[in-house]
Amino acid sequence: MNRLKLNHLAVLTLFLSAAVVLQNAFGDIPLEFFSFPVSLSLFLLWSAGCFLCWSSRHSWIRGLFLSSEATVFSLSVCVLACLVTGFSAKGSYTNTWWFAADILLLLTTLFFVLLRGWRDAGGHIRWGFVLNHKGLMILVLSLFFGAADTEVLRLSLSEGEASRIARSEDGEVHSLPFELQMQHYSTEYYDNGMPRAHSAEVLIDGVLRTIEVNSPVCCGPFCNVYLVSSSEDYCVLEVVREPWKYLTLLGILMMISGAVIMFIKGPTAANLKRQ
Amino acid sequence: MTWTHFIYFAVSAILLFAAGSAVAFAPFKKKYVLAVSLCCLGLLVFASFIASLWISLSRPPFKTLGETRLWYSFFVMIAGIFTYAKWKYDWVLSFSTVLAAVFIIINCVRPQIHDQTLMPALQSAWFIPHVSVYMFSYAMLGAASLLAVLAMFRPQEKLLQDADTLIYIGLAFLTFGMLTGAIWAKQAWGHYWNWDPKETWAALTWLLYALYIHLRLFVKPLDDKKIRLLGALMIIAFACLQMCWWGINFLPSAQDSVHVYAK
Repeated sequence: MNRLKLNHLAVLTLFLSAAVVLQNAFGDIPLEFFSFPVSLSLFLLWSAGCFLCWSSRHSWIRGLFLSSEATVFSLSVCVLACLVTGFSAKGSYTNTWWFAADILLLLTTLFFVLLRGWRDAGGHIRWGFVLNHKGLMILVLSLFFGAADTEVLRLSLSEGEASRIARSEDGEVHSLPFELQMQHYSTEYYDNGMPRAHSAEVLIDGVLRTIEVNSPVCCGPFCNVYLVSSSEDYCVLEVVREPWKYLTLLGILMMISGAVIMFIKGPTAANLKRQ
Repeated sequence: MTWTHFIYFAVSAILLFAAGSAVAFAPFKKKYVLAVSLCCLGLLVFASFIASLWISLSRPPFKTLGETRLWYSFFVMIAGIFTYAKWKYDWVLSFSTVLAAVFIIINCVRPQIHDQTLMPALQSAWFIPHVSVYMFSYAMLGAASLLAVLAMFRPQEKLLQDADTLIYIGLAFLTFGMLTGAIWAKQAWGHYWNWDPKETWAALTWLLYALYIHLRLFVKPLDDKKIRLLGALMIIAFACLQMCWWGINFLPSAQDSVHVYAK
């Protein structure tokens, strides 16, 4: 039993070590390489791989990811990754191979645990368990596989100016599928000079829309336009295209429902399992 | 109502909390009802100040660190009363009174700049549920970490079982707060999750409590050493929660965080 546990930990550590080697050899993950359709193909490949390992009768991978060591190990490495990231400047480590390996480990563990829960349910669905675990898996996988497909572009417009051109954070020029024309923008202030509200009236492909902070406008199913800031000369707009956003929202809503069940039931269900 | 009136409400509330805590140690039978009633009366006094401040500011008082301390004092007493009413620990009301009093006194001695301004990003329907739910979870997890400290000195499985209930409630609220924050972030900045330092520390805190819950399922049988280790994990998780709440204001890497509104 002890040897088995050591084997589990050794394999998981080896997996993470491989990611560290990749990091040293190639540097950060080239995100653009993994954008659609590679992202979707990888997601399908990962799902199929997990399912095949689950279906195989004598799969040691299934035993590995269903072990308590895998759960504790994947949570612990995510804790360590967050700790390192928490002390670093934003975005320093989130594009590294070892960070991605941590997340993949957590996702794979969740996948196997959910399949076991489904197999053992026997007609009795444990809603708290299902919503919390499945919600977390959907949320994390949509952010993980969808990271390469997310586009954040900015453009500055003065009143009356129109444009279809926006720039990414690294300065790359992109053409937008719609035209933005700034009609008017304004800022309201408190008595002490602090800004109270920003708003901008923008023609999007000829249709007049009002954009405010906390109130973006939708341009198609996956795209939103945000008001970032404004000065005397121009107003900065941000166009965010996030194709996986509905999956992320689904994961969030499932986890919120799971949290409600966790609050109502408390540790009772867990105690019963322990007994 | 302004912060200059706070001292009267603060002193009245602390006196009522202290009276309730003292009654909790009394030897007579109906002490539970009296202790809880006195503390609830203190909460009523405190709540009336919060409500008056809210009305006079024309916005919810959640913006500054001082205002969140106000809510923390409020919710830490609710958590204390809840724990006392459910498990009858005589000491728990005293401890939550001391904890609440520390934050109340800090607000009296070092009042933040409480103006009426609320920056545009904070003007959202998600503001109140996000912050109030977080404050309540902080209070429940704070109460759990008290039991963890006790378990370090007197390791008993019963203490962990009591802490489990508080952690399940606290983690449920923490999850709700974190995810409503994610929905709000999408609305305000375009991303559900952006690995901003505050978000990273929130994820770290959540993961540590999730790790505790899973370890409670896996670690058996429990001996003194394992109870102490689980207690230590709870204390570390609560320390990370403090880092997420106010500690990041002092982190050099977090100075550009979009979540640092007022120090």
